[in-house]
Amino acid sequence: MTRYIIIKLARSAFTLWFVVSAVFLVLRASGDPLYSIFSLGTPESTLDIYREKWGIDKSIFEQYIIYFQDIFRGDFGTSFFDARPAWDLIVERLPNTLLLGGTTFVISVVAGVSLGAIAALMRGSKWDRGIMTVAVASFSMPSYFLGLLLILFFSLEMRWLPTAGAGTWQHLILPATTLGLTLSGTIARFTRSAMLEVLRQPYMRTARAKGASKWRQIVWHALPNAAIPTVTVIGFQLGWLIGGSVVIETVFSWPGAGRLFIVAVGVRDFAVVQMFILMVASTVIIANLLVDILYGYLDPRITITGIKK
Amino acid sequence: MTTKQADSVMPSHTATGVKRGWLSATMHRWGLSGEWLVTAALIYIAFILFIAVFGFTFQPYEHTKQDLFNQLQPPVFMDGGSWDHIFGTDDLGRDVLSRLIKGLQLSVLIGVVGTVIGAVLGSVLGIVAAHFRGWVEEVLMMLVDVQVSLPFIIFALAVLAFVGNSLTVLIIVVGIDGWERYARLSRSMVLSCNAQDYVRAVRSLGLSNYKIYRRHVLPNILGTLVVQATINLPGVILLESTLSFLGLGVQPPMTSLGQILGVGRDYLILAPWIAVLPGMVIFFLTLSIAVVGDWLRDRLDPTLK
Repeated sequence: MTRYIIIKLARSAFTLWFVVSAVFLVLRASGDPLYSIFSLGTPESTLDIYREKWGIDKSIFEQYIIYFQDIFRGDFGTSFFDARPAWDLIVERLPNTLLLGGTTFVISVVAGVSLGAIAALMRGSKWDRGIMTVAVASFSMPSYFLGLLLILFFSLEMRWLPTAGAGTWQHLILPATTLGLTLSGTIARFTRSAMLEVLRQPYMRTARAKGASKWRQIVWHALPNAAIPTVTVIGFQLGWLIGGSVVIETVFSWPGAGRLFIVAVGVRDFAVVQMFILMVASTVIIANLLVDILYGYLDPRITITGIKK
Repeated sequence: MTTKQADSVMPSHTATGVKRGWLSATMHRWGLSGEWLVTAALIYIAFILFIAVFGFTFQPYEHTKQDLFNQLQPPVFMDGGSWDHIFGTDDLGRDVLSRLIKGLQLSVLIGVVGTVIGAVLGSVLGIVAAHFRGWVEEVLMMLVDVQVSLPFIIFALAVLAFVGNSLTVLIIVVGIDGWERYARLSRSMVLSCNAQDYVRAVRSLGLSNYKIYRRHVLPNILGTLVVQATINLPGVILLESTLSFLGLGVQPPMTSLGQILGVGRDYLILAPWIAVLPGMVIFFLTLSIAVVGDWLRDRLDPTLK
């Protein structure tokens, strides 16, 4: 188990390094950002001052070394526009993003797992087909379009909820519902197939045979076993959730880190883009690592060979 | 999704000689008995493909033609609409129907080409990894880790904003998404193929590697890869439409469904049809492909999950 964790850790570190370096390269390969930041005709002498100030006058290789040195010192660069550390800019918006993401996550896990389990238990029934059709529909729906439809109906037509912004719990309802619907569709589908797999196992027959109540069969025998593949899928959905929240934050003008990222990408703010991607990648990598380790505990049959999925 | 029960019930139904309409007879011939949803999805996909390919022949106006005296005119089924612009006009007086047809064309093109790029790239890498094993395989699996670690839309947004935006870059970026699924799939399938007798037999006959993979392995794994591509296609279409919606995908004067939606977002109160119509087209398209993909998977390849 220790060896398993060590190998996983090493590979995660490599992955993170690769992502950060690739993004670093892509950003630098795009030409001088100053030409898109400053208006045309700004004298080169002025631009040179800013190049030196922002440290983009050096060669790519030097910049790369400095970038990594700074990261290890806890300095993630300074925004070109706010002249404030990128770390501060993102961290002050994180609570909003976490609030939205957390609410969405709870909604979709509860809704997805219960609906998926119901569909599996009533396999072949109208309920099953209904739930699964809605699930497929929910992740075929472009999330931004669903968001617009909800705004159109609940905000503009019925005037119940605010269209954009954050602050009260009413602001949270529409973005969380939009994101949560899509995610719960995916989770419901995986829960259903995991449950179907479990329900045909011999130990479920044994549970029935020994006269366990229906409720006990489901909660005690079926759900924990179905949880193993479901946890993996939910872990992998975290990346999707972050990507989706970038879009939804833009649609609902939710003042979170994702919206900051979209703005920063538009104005070529190197430090903010790099910092955001570094943060997202490490979050997803750590989450996947935890899922893998959790998996190892949930299912002791997983061995070192499980690394090659 | 599909119920196997329906398939097994239908034949006995025919045996009793119950008369059926031509529609259900046709459905039966195509193996679609009882699959009303799949049939509807197939019809819709055929319709969309037809519009995408031949739509330009009955496109009422040029999609860039502005008519500033007829801005934000409602569609014919709403109050104040006229038959001149069946689906109304947008903020510059451009005909929404014409823009839908043009946008659909580009969305379908990007979706299909992008999917093919991802499928070919991923499958080839997977086959190479399974053939060479060792460090080649390790490197590939690490790249798969990298792909999974960053939500692709974030990477795509960064690339499109920084590297610059052209249709070629957009198609390639959209195509890269999902390559890792084909890579994993083809790698594991080739590994199991290589261990089977027929591959060993042709290998011992001295056939070159290229011929072995081209003639013997590929035909065996192609079905599964095509099913996987069908399942991926909606995601690719959604990715393109999302990027275009955010203003980083297809750029004017070209147009795609997502881009029309992005413009319509600013006129949601005044002219909801600009946003709602393309949204509906995308939704039903991705839904139909997803339904058909599930059905294909259940029918052809129950091993896929």
